[in-house]
Amino acid sequence: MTDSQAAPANLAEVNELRHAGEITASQYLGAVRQCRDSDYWHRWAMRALLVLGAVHLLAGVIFFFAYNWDELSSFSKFGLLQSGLVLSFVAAIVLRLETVSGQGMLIASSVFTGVLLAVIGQVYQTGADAWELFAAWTVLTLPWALVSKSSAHWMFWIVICLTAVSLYGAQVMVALGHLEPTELAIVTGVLPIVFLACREAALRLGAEWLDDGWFRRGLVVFAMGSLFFPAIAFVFSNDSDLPGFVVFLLVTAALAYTYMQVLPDFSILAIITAFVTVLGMAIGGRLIHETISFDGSGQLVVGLFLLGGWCAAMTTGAVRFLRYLHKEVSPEVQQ
Amino acid sequence: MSNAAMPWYVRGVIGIGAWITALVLVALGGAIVFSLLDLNDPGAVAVVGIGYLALGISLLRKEQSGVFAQQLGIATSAAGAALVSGGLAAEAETFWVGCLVAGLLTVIVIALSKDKILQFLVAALTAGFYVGALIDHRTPYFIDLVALATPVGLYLLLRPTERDLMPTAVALLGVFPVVSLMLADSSSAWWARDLEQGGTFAQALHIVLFLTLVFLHWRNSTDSKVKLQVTAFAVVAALVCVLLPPGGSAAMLILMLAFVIGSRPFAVIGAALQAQFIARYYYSLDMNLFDKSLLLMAVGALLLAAWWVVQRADARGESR
Repeated sequence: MTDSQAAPANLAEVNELRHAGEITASQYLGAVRQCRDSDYWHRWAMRALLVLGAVHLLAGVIFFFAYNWDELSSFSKFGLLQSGLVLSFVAAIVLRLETVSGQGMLIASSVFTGVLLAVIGQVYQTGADAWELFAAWTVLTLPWALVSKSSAHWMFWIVICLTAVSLYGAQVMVALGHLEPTELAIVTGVLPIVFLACREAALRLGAEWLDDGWFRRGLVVFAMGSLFFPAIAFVFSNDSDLPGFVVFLLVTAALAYTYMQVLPDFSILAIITAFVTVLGMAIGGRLIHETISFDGSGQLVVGLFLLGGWCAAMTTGAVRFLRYLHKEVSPEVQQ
Repeated sequence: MSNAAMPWYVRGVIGIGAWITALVLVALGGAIVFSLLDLNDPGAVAVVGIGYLALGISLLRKEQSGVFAQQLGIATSAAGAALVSGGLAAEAETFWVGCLVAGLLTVIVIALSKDKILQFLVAALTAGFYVGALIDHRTPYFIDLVALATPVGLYLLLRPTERDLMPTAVALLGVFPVVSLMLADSSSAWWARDLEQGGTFAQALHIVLFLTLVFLHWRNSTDSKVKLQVTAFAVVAALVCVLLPPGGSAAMLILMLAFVIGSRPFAVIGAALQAQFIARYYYSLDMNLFDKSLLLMAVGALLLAAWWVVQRADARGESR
């Protein structure tokens, strides 16, 4: 790279320079360093170290109590967990909830609460269903989530809440015949959308700490993922899944409108496009199957040929649509 | 605008579409040979595959090809590569032939096409045959042999050739973490019984590669405080990699790579792999739950200690 050339702005530009022969292999890392945002990556590394450390430590605690070690008395188990709970809570207050470490400590308190509930079930053999554990965990940790000022804490709480709802639905409502599996999938798919709407509203009201792109994307993936399966089930023969299919379409339309017109976000539109493309492929497959039954060899070959063309056409449509959106909606994350 | 100019996650979406289309086209190839022509010969599948590959590459090489032709070209070429290597592997009754053929096809694809998605798919196919061959032959120390893909991928990423081999590099770099996730609870599988799976060499290799990345960062830092922080971090990170099973240390390696080259996609992939590793580790039968819990707590404590040391150094630097 000559001095007269402008420094590359990002990794993609460095790669283009390398593939165009403008820089040599030995100059590559130097060019990468020039465009690397050192301050950003230092902050990222600090956050990653803290998160990885906390996740490994807390996973270790969960594994430890799941092992149900006989040589540790019930008193010691409760003592250890309650100490962990109190200490992490006090540490969160001392370190302040505005700091990442303080927020991490409050998440640890939420984790200790859940493990404590599980150990109560272990020691007293309460016979409670799994949903009761998660429901209690959800209720008991809600106040901490409310004061947390942390997207990560809210995401953790939402995962527990969705697990509680799914388990209650499966172990009680569906088991007793009060709810169809499709209806349960709709509930668990729509719930993240409700949380998403709350998040967007809170953000508008000034809760800037909720302004993490991954939080929004995570909720959209949860919602679309839950609603996708009943929609696919409807396409492949099960007529009782029609409500799931309709709700999938409605949620998709609502999300597309919101993140195209109201709060433009290209990454959300890319996620939606991926789900819709795969569903579109499935619908094409069903229609082809209905039109040409795959009974004979010739029909099978013709059917698969048409399906291959349809899948390629759907992918093409997705590419064209995403290119159009990429021009219209500025992406949050390019690299 | 080409696919390459789109954000990485969009290329992922297009890749999923191409992969599904390729699967349908593979089924079509099989239907033509086994059902329509009624040939009970896997070698005939390879012939159909050659036709697919030629058609796909010619579509991709057309200068004025539209988006549909491009997507069809990617899917047809990928399906062709799968049919040729799969057909010849079935004919020879060994995955090694499939691996060799898929490897040759990857070279051909790199030479004839600049499409990143196709290159990634064919390179991943080669890696899949490689892993399949190791498992099918019940190769001792197969984990260590799978880990050999990592340094090759890393080298291609850090010393890129003029010809764009990044998709191959990414596929190679992903082989070990993906395999270790899929085989996390495989100790009781039929092929793993009474088989020395290895892992020590893989772990040592990851530590060496991790320290190499740390050294690259250290060498290019001019600030003595940063150098000291990096050195302290290297010691802790090496200890963490010693404690973690190879799958965990491979994910850590990808996170370190993201940090050194400043790549958000690798940061996302590394974080997702590490989260998956912890979740799947619960079911691993290599160690009992008690030992696993102690190991994870030790790793967590070490990482938190590293965070504390670096943060203290930052705070001191700011107060001066």
